[in-house]
Amino acid sequence: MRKIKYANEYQLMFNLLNADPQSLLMDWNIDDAIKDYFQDFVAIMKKLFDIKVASQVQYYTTLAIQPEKVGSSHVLYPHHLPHFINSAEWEFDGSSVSTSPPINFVLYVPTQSQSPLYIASANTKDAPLVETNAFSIPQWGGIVVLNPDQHSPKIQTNSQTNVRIYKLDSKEELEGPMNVFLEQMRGLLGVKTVELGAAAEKLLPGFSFTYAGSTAGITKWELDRLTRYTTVKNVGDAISTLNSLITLIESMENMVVLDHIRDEIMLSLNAIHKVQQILSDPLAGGVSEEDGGHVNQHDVALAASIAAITAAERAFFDPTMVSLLYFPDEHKLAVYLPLFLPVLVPLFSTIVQEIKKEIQKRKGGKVKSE
Amino acid sequence: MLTAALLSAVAVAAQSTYHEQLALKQSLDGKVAAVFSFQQASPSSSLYHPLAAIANEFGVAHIDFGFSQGKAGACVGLGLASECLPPGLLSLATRLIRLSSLNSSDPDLRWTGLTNALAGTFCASMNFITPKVSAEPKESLRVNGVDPDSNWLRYATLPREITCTENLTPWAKLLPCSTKAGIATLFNAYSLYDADYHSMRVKLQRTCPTPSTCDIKIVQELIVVLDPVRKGHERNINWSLKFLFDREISGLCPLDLDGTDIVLELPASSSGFTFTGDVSPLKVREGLYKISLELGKKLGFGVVHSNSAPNRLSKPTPPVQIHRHLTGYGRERGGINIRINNNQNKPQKVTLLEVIPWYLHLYLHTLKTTTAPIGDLEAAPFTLNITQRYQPSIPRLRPSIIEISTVLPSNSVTTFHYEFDRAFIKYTEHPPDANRGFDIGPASFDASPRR
Repeated sequence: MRKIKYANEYQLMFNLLNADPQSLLMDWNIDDAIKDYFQDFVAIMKKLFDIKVASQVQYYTTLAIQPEKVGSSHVLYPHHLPHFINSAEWEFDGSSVSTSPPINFVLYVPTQSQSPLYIASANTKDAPLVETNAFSIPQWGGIVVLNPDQHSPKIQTNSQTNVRIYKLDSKEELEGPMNVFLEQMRGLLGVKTVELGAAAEKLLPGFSFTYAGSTAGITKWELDRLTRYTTVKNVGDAISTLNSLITLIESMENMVVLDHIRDEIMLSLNAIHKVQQILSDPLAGGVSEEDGGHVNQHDVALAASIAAITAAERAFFDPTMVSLLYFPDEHKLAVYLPLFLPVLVPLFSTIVQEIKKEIQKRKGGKVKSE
Repeated sequence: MLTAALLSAVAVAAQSTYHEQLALKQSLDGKVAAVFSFQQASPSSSLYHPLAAIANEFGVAHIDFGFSQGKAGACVGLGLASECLPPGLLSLATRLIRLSSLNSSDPDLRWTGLTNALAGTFCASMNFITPKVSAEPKESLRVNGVDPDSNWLRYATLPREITCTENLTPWAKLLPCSTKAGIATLFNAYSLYDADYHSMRVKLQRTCPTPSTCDIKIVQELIVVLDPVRKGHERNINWSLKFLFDREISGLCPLDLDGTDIVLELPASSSGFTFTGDVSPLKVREGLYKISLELGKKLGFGVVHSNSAPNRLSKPTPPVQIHRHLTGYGRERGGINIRINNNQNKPQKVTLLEVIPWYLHLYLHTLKTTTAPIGDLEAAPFTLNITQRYQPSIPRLRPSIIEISTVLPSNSVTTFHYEFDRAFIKYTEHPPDANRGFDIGPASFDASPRR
């Protein structure tokens, strides 16, 4: 499944991987590129996810795999691609102070000895090359392999150190990769194209349909579909999380459930009720006048569903809810039994013997007296 | 955050810069000190750096901490006495900004968060630095350009921590070229951790011209003192990079656009020497040589002295000498004695900072400060005028702090002495390997004239 698990906040990291800075030191105008291609997308998606964007450049990032030489170029086949990311050497950990899941987009510039590097679309020998020279990793991010023009007039040489520097410009060299990243981002977030389909063609024969595009990277229909999908999915996930929480609490009798967990659960339940209320209203989807502004009820339901899943996960993943902290009955038995059993067994057997003796004595006494 | 980063990208066209350099220095007794210095300056942009993210999250103006191991005395003969740190983990002069706009303006919470984040980044037990062992000195550890009234200062030490390869790897990973190019290619753990003294230091300065844009300057410094006399079979003071580090420098790091220089300082009074290797360093002046790194070209050179026997007898007298030791015997009570020799012909203004853990109960009435002239051992010592600031300890909550400011007379020996009782502590509060004893952090001696 390509879509990344829903989270309220994501860390989006653009990485420029320079495998051979000694031959050609790559730099990029990423701040302008983010502004030109991603700013609008991130702003529109604000009601669904809070996306924090950062960038980093890594150097001497060599591949762990060896591409095959085909003619004068090097080709990576699909069976190479799962091992493309060299997790041991490359740094994709994301921020050390944030717990939001990372999404990484990588612009990879190969070494001189592996240039130019292309990606084939199938594992066969004469398979055509992928046009965008890019591939995506499900639930992780995407990679574009860039083969810069080694003789570009834009390359500047540092007079003191003879280092050749190539700065990628937002409107020129970065346009292709950034558009590919945007497409991969849509896949990662679960944006699906919305089309009327074959049924519409049958209903209105003779008409042709053109769908309006969007400069932001997502159309209003796609955003609407994603909103409704996310709302329903979040509510489903919140309910299943709460169910798991109940199972966990019921499995351990000694478990202490603190007050703030109860508050989170109530919050989640109220939010789920609110979503159900809004969505079961036949007039839902309309625009309501709240506080003087136009508020789409679907957006209100979305916000409530986000609150529901966040509260449910906060309750379930609370550090005090770990079942290992509490002793199940088997553990208690295992600890106390070896201590007390050797003492109790002789005690019981002696008591039983004493009782038997008493009974014998009584019986004997009775017989005697008779 | 996105709009803030973009605003700054439009307004500021400054680039992030990187510069590294290596200074090698040899003393007459043969010891070679290598000081690797890496400086990164990045203006506010979307560029991510782990330390910058930590500094922004906890509202830090200045961080200075170091890991070190070995005898700092090895540095004295090499003129690095103020750079070398005592063994263990030292968190000097970390300043948290007094900002009410942050989520939590409680400095202790931010300090704990900061040490935990740094512990994760450097794979070190920095998370043991809690407000329980931290001090807030009022007189010492002032940094130029940082206003003490606008931020909180924190100082803490973990003297028992051991530095090893586990700390070097994440430290080196913070460098742009890592250990793949530039002077960092000399980082061979076998050589570095066999040295007489080694320390890694991180200094971060964060200035915010506007509340949403912050410029970060990071300086990483690694100091290692190696002994060519102890290494190898010859037992002489000749050395080469290959001999000391078991490898050569593989070319320039392309990110250092100003060029990387290796500065070599040899003792001026040595009888004569020749250089070995492909390229010889160029002479800058008597005793100072320079060689530049080239892109893609390996560099290795060595020094062969005409008189290669180590000269361990002549030791230069430093202007100020300090000796600190424990007095008394037994596990019940003891005292700390600090003896400072001022060998200069002029008085010296100093501030002494002592942070003593809570389990040693100090008795301030036993504090004696006496001074006597160096040459005249028969003279009766007289009491010195001091200004002192004392913070008593609260058991299990905070350490005791003594800050003494005074003027040392010229050519004098000054002694500070105070006594303590050891507290009776719970068995869980003893450190691991409790029979080895307890480690008390170093005292801090500040000789820069201020006020």
